[in-house]
Amino acid sequence: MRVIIIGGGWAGTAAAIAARKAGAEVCLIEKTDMLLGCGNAGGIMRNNGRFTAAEEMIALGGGELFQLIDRIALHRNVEFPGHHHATLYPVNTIEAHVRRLVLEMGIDVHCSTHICDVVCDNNQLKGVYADSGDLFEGDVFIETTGSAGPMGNCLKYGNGCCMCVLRCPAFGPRISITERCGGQDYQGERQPDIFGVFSGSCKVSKESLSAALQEELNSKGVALIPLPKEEINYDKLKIKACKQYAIKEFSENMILLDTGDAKLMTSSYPIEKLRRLPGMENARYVDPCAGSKGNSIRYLSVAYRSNTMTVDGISNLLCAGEKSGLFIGHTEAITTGTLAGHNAARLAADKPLLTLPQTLAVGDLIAAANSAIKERHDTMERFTFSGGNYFKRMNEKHLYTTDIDAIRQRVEQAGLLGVFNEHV
Amino acid sequence: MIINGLCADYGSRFCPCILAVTGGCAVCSQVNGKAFCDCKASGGICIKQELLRNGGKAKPSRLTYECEVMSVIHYDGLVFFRVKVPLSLEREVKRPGGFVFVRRKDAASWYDVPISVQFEEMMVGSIGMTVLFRGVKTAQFKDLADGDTLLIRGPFNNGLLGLQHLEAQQSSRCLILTKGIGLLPSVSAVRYLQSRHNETELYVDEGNFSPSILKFQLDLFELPFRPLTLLDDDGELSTPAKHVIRRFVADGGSLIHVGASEYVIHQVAAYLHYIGSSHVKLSACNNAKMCCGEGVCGACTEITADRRVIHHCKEQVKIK
Repeated sequence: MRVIIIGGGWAGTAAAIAARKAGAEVCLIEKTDMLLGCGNAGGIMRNNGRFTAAEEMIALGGGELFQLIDRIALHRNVEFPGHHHATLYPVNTIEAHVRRLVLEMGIDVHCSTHICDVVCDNNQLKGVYADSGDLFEGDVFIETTGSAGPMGNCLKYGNGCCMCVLRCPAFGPRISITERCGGQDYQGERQPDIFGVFSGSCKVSKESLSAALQEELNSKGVALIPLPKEEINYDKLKIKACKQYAIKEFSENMILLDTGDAKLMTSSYPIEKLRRLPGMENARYVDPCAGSKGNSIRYLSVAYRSNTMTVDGISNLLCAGEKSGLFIGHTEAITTGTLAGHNAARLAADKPLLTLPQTLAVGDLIAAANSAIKERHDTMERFTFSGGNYFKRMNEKHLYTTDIDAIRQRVEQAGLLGVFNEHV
Repeated sequence: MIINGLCADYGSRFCPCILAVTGGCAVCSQVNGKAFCDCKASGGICIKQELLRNGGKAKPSRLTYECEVMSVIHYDGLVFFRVKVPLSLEREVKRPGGFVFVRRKDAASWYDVPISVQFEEMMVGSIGMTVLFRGVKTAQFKDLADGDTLLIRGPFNNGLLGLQHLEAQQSSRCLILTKGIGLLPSVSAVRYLQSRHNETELYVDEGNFSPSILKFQLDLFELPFRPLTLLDDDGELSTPAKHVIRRFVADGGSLIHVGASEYVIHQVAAYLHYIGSSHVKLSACNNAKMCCGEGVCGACTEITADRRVIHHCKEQVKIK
């Protein structure tokens, strides 16, 4: 059984690992020269409910990527406004570590391979074409192309291409596999009838900061610089994808996190204003290159799906990551990716598909995001373990805990201990 | 078999063209009125952005140049001639798939003849073309002589389909199958492939054309060839042709170029599909009847099953 995964971000990588462990022959196709997609500009794990989710995934047997991140993390138990026990991983080296892991597992990786078209017959996906003309045929497909870009969307719904890590001008535009198969995607909104949201953070070169600020970041992992009164703008929180960071403190302060570079917790900020802040007089953006102007636009291509991650209307296509819901973050991508990868192998082997129970935070998030769309048509809500309404729900349902034994017990009670380690 | 869903003018100084303004762009879903970006191009240029930057207007279309004929060879129903052109035009048109529209200075614009330009040495200030006398438009060149003035409009680049594959070949093995007049535009493809150190095997089916016409071209460009009948009496791909293709595929060949009618191109594509040789790329001559070359007149259009209008003068369509 051959599983083809289109999109090598965190979700696609997690799906590849899960499908491989379940016994499938796996081909992972990524348009850029690096895996992890936006993960190369991410860096934050285990903050708030993401801790619970990461531990649930480890107990479920899908912990490879979390354990790798834990191993190479720069900072652990970092506290910043509204967020507790965050782990910060080094964005500049994480990809090489992950790629080695994926290759060692015998996954067939095709980077710099841009998928541009599909062969779909009778609601069954037969293959995907690269723009070189090469055809990748498989039994089951997983779409993890995300929902950011391409340039036309960033232009129409944002401030134009800001040269983010996805590098559409160099590697080609993201396409929607589901729409090419004749399906219909839905879009997230930042305000009623305004489609798309801006990515929530930028990266500034750490060495462009003052020695004192660098030292603070290196030692604590976090630095807060109060903004001058005239620069405080609460409205800018509305445009951000990341609800968990759309809180008052993030408007009143410039919050920097050490992810190898300095992660700036704002969608964009004019560089001349940035350089007025103490310690940032020589600041320079590294991602997006045009951080003064804007950021990538996301949530413009989300597929309707089931809680087993199968795409509605196409019999052998699954999805994960942002393609599968209005999710935020890498923990969420790894979670949905792992389930999609495992279920792809089950689908190829003609076995019943796995639905994660709502007694687990990971199962509850997947179900909650689905019901928001299918039952309430709510395209304004976002889903992340780390904040916003979903983290409130985790607390209300007593799903949030940092007690690793309790989490393991919870997974055991669901009868799913190590399920992602099983060969199907 | 897919070749490339792109427009031959994509990203050039003629892009965005009038089709982007009027909602008929082959690449950009948004200038065509769709809400979301479903870009088909991987070349890194956003047509919507280029259109906005150009004030919502199309870039200027091709110029017409008055050019002097430098040399003429009349030969058994055809004429080979060389005209003096600006270096900028020469540079852009001397490439596989490059063509221009040509007419005599005193002729009306509807006498424009689309003619492929020979791929040859650059920066000499001239281009060579071969015109076969077939009808009312080509008849204007019957008495062409040195020193005459011609009107040349260009550059156009969509004379071959599968350009992307052709241009990607380097030190590989390529098979060229031509029939009749299809040899003429294919000569450029062969010479281009040879310039990139590719090993080429050229097979020529005379078709209904005079053997001397074909020999003239082959002698002119010193191309060794082997005769081959491409179709049998039933109109199917002939057994020897199938044998040549099978052997080429088995020997690890990487590109087949077909210079023949649509029918023959489709026969070859279908046979390649039948023998499961998806690694072999395909290129072919573009047989569409072109008139304005700018996607305006409609002479070369085709309407697809999903009601999209294809302009064959611009679009690198899939070989079915």
